[in-house]
Amino acid sequence: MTRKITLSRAINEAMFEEMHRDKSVIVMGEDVAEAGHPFKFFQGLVDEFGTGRVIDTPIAEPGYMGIAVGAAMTGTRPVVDLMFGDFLFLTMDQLCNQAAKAHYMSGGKLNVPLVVHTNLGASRRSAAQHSQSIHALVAHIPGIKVVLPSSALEAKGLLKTAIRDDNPVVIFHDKMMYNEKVEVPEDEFLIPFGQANILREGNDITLVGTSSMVAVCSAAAELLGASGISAEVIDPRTIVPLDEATIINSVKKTSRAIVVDEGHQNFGVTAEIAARISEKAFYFLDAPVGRMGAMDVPIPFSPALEDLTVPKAEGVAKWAMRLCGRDVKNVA
Amino acid sequence: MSHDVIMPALGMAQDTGRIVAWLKLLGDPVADGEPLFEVETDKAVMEVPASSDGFLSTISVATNVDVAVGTVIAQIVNRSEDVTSSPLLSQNLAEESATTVSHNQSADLSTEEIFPKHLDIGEPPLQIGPILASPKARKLAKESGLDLARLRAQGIVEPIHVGDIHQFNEENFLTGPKEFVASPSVRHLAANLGIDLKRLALKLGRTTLAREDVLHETRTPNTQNQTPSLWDIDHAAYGPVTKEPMSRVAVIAGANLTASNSMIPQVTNHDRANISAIEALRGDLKPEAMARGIKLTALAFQVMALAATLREFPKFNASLTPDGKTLVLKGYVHIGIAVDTEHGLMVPVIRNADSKGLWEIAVEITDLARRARTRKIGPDDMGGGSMTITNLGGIGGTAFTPIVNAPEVAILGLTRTEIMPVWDGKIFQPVPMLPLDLSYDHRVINGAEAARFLTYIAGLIADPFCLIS
Repeated sequence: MTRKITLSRAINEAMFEEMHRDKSVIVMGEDVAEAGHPFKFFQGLVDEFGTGRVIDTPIAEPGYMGIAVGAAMTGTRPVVDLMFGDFLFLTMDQLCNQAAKAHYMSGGKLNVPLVVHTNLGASRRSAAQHSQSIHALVAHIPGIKVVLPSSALEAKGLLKTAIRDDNPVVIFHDKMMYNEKVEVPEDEFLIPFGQANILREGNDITLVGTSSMVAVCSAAAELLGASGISAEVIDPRTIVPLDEATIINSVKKTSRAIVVDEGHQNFGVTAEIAARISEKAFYFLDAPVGRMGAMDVPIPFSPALEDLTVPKAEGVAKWAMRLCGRDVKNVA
Repeated sequence: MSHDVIMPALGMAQDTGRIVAWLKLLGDPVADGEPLFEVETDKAVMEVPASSDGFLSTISVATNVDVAVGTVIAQIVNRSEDVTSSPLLSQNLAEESATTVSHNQSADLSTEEIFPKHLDIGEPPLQIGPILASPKARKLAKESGLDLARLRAQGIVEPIHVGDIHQFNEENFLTGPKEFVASPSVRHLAANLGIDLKRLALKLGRTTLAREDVLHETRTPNTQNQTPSLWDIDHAAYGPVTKEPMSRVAVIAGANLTASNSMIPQVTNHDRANISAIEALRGDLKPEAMARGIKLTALAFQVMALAATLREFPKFNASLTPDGKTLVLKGYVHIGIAVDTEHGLMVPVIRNADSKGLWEIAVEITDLARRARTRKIGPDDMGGGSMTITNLGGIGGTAFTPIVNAPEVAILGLTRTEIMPVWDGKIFQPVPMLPLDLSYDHRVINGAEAARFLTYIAGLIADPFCLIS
């Protein structure tokens, strides 16, 4: 049985299930206890599990990230909430120098089963310091897994897997998706890391989208379908680990690909995935691999400008048509 | 205003030509009549002049690609600012600049205008230089043995995609059944003859292959298909090798020689001619030759002797019709001179050699040989010969068996003159003797006629005064 729930609700369910299942799971962050988080992720957790496991912190990300890393090394499974992904910059040493390397540098004696729970995405009129998608930064560091759910369903299954993982995991939700409702099973389920989801099968072009861009790719595929182009849409779900095989096999079938991600285009996720396609499916390519990310500018506060910085379905469809050798003017 | 530059027809039976080199660069000023580009046909390379004044623009055909006669290959524009690199490129630029204008002027910005780089999917298509093709298209072309230059020659817009290849193959009947039916005996025969039945099925467009198909394939005058197993050897397995492509001239000459040698029953008669009189005469004429600035070779005398001999033996100045039932006797005497060039064997022709004087012929031999070596020979300088002379005398040899230059019926080979003892009735005299090798089409000429022909020409060479008087 399924029912329609929001992403916030899905996260809340995942937290309840995991905290009941495993007493070592704790939550830390700003306004996570009584307030239940501004986006209602953690509503009711403090009543159920008490302030010992649901811990409000000061507005001091570097401090509580350090505490969480230490706690993770010594037997708990902290879920650390960063209200905005942009605040990751404050926690880079704790996360990238300590958490990511402890297992390696201790010769395997230490584990850091830490979940950093944060977000990405523009379009909320939050200005340049609260609208970034900086998942590529942590994906660059070996030792950190990076999870990009594309819906409430994905968010629940992936968060539960993240909590059970013995390594640092950073999970980025799309801010615009918090209140979107999708069908989610009532029964418990997990979604494994490193297994891409093929949302739509097609033969002419592969659209690889992450997080918020999965919906953009699906909408683009609809537009393309109306023009007689059959697009395959792939959601990698996790970029570290990356399900390369599913993407490469798809491109071998379609001969064309566009990679769409909301991070800045320069040196980003699109570059990495496009490069792997070019390396491993080179002789199957009938067109250059396309990539679309956010414009390489600070995300503007102006709504009119902000909306222009992020790839849209029409833009993806038009480019796909060009790669397929169709006249762009014919796009619906 | 602009004028189209078209691939000219430089010979009567010419369907295609290929540009070897542009003698002007894109944007260069050109004058009417000025050499513009070099074209290679089956027979020659020659310069083609511009047909109007202006500036070279819009080169739309690659070099070293066969282009149909009449194809527009470039344009000459009146003003240098009108010069464009290719019609496709200029169109694209026009579109791009139009987009930029609307981008700047319009307040209603749409996503793709803000993301111009998303639409920039690579270099604009240029139809010169390396062929642009997608990796998959290249792979497909390689696997199916298709030369991408053929697609470019048909004007397919680059980069070439897989769809272009499929379309090209369909239009050229290169696609067909992938599977075929053949009896075990036919398969066995094909294997022995080294014929790829799959490819043959594709070529014939049929699914059922019979013994006749395989045998017919072996008769197709294509050296690669005849007995490929002989050449299908990995030579590198025996030691280091390098590869170089056969020049186009050599490939064409090779095909003609193969046809001639396999279709004509040829015999070679050998004889010798006393050339002491010619040598003496050359010595006497040396001051005059120097005064005229002409190099007087023995070959000039021999061409005169051959021309005169052909007037006496009309059957040697003839060609068979394709059905082999009629002999076409020629009312003219044109002598072909085989010239060894670095890009292959070429045979320019001295027209009406029987009515030209010694000096005229000497000049023409020098001129034709020089132009053949610099690839400045035109189609009018070749073909339509009566007989060919091939002279190895300057290099060496005592005798050889030249191959008749079809459709001619005979060829005269010369090797190095030797001082031989000749019995003058009393004693042996040391005499310079020129070896003559006459190969002939035995369907037309028999041995006795050939012997008479050689005796006659040897007499003329021994007594050149009757030629030049």
